[in-house]
Amino acid sequence: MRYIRLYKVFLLQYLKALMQSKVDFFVGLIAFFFTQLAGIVFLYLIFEHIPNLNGWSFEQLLFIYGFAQLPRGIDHLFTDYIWMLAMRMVIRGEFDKYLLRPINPLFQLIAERFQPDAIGEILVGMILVVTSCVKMEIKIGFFNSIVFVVSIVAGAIIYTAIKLFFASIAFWTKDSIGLLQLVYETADFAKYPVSIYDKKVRFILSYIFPFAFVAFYPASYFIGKAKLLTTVGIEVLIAIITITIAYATFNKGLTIYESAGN
Amino acid sequence: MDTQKKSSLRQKFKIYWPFAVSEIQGALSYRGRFYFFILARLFNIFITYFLWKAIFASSGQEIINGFTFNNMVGYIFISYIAADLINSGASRYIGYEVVDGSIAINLIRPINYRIRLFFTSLGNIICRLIMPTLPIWICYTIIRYIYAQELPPAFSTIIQFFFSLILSFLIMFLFEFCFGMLSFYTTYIWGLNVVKYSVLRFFTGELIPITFFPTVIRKALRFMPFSLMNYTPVMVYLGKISGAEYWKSIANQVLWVVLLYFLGSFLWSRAIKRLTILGG
Amino acid sequence: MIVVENLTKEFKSFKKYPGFKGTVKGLFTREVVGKKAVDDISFRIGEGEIVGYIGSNGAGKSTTIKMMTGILVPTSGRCVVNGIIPYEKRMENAQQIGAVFGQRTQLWWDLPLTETFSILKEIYNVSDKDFKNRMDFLDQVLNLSEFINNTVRTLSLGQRMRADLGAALLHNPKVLYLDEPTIGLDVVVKENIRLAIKEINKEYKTTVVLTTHDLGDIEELCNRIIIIDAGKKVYDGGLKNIRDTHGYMRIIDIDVKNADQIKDIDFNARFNLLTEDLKVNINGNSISVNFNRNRISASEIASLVMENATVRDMSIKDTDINQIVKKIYKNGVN
Ligand SMILES: Nc1ncnc2c1ncn2[C@@H]1O[C@H](COP(=O)(O)OP(=O)(O)OP(=O)(O)O)[C@@H](O)[C@H]1O
Ligand SMILES: [Mg+2]
Repeated sequence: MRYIRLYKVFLLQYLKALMQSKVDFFVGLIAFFFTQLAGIVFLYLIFEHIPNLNGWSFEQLLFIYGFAQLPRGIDHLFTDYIWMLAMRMVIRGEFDKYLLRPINPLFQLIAERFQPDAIGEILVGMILVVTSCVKMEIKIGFFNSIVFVVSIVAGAIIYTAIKLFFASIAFWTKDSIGLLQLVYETADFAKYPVSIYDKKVRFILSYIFPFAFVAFYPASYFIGKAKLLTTVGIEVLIAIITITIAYATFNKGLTIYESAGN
Repeated sequence: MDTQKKSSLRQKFKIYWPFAVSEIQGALSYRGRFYFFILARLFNIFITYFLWKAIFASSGQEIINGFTFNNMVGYIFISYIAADLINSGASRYIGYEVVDGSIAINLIRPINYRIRLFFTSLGNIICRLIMPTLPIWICYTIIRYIYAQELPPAFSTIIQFFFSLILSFLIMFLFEFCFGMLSFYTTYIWGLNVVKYSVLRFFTGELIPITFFPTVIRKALRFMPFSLMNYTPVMVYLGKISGAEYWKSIANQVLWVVLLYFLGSFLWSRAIKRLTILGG
Repeated sequence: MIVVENLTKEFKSFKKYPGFKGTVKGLFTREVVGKKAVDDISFRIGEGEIVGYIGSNGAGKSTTIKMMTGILVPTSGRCVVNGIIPYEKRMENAQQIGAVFGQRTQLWWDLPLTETFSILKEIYNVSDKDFKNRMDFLDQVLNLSEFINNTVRTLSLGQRMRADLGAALLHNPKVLYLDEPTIGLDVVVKENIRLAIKEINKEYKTTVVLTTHDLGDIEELCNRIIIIDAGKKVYDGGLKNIRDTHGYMRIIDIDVKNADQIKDIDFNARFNLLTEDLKVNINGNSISVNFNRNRISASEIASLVMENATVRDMSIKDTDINQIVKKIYKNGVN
């Protein structure tokens, strides 16, 4: 309860600052919009030449693509500051201040920044999901809308967990930004049907860096190409496992944190 | 007269070369990031590779828009490699320096800011050439030879490629410099950079060959420098631009170097005036 | 209140090689070097004490404080603060301590100072009534209202330090750790801060641990000091004692054109003093004389030098805290 109240305080502060620079906010929004757009136009141009991609229609691909943006955007919106842990908090000893307050350090880290730019990402995702649903005439009933929300939340948690885990490596190595970037890059694989990849890549995406379970598998459930339990079910399971491992690693990292010389 | 000019050039080089060196050293000291950077790049290449493989398999055609699958693989790898060597992100430097105020220090020094920045970019590019570009290229060539019995292009083609690539680098650098001037007017250069990055990836042909675009856009692109930044050298490498067409492209590139050079000078003088009026 | 037992912290780092070649070499090799920043230190501090924790640069002061505040986990040994082991129960410990690191602010850089305080109020669960009382008190001792509406980024160093101190005290901590709280401040602000610390200590019986390089802080605030050097404790006791025994040493530095003649003079024999009270170091053409001002005056030394060489430059220095530390370390008082 106290944490929710605190988060509200932080958020309010952040929004106040944001209102002072509306232009920045819109530029950020548009920036993300554009990044996503590039990928979509790419698909569009390709579909001039092919009827379907490995049996997936253009609409289905758009759905997967858009669906992939949602958990990513939500994770981005709330926990973007974890990147700073990987980048410089450990080297520069900036983490000190979180250890001096009677509040969970991870919470403090996350509450440090709210990334409204990500709204652009989420918007693109929403638009894609909705339009492709309409085009494909997929009706999402009451039960499936709950599954939808669960899946997106679980997906966002997986993103956060992977980010937190690799950022926590910085406690040992001082900086882990390169590694984190690398892992994050693999998330891009999951924007397309995993069936286009060969066996090894598919294995990595499913079980090592389980990004396929964040986007492709749940999306194929909603399209009606897969079963609930083997997609969203496993996704939720993975979310629980990864976040537990990540949080434990983070906590372990705190005990070997060395601060900085001055 | 001529010897004098030569020695002054050498002197200039002596003044500015350290900027390149310090950039190289800086990059090397982040060794951890270094290896990962290479891997991350490779990942990206592989996504695109698999995507095209699926596209060709699904299309039922041998050739799409004049590209065989092997052509396309070549295109993907070379355009990624070229993109790394062309874009040094000079506008981001300008952004940093405007934000933290160090740009003012650069104005006090008896140094031409653009040349300094050029050498910083050069240092950056040299790093990337050594790591990861050259190793990736060598691996690519070997693997292509083993799996597709494909030989690298003729030596003369590679020379032509490099010549065009250097011009691409110049165009990109000068463009980035002009773009960086925006930092004097907005504090949010980061967001603009993201926009620019995605637009460039598209219109330079890094993401997809320009022949895939609708005719209208292709025509419009002829009057812009973007396709000259990446598409042109890559097509040279693949042997799809050669002979008279090659020299036409080179002339086009040179033209843009000159244009952007003067545009940059103009924008810079405007920005400086603004800076001195506002007091940085 | 605070119990420190055999506290040790060892940092491991990777060896860096110099130069461009070194950078390249560093790409492929790694060599680990260990360094004991704090080495087997023990002490106890009672409630309401103000203790000065001093030592030269790199002695290990900040490292000790970081262990006592829970930021660092010791390599071995332990410390207990008010019954809590700080690095094991960080959040509980944080609730009862306040800390100011002079070199680094803990305030929210982009927010007005008032907002920082309202966030801290939430973080430390301070009730509205307590909050008001504390703010009134802090304003009175630190004059926060002068700049309370300014953004932290725009505060001057002195204002920021006062704000940081205020922020550390909002929740009425039992223990206050101050790591160089007066660094870079002018005389007036320094005085302000010292008075505030005194006031708080008197009013709330707050235990204070203070590191500083300014002997003035120590003289005005502490009745006890702990000195460490190279991670080891070398002195623990009253301040009066140490000043009586060591505060009289001065250094005179003289630069001359040619020191050849000076080298032949036996200063100790000439003034009939032991090396304990007079010690001469000649390094090229600079002469540095360490002397006891109760036994001999600076002018006596200076005139002897002037008789034998052309003086270029001359300066007299107070023995600073580091000198005392060094001297104690060498002689092993205690
Ligand atoms: N995070 C760290 N990693 C590696 N070495 C460190 C670290 N922090 C401190 N050290 C080393 O430990 C030693 C003690 O440092 P510490 O900061 O405790 O000194 P200090 O007494 O506070 O000095 P100062 O008066 O300069 O602030 C120094 O040699 C320092 O180089
Ligand atoms: Mg210190």
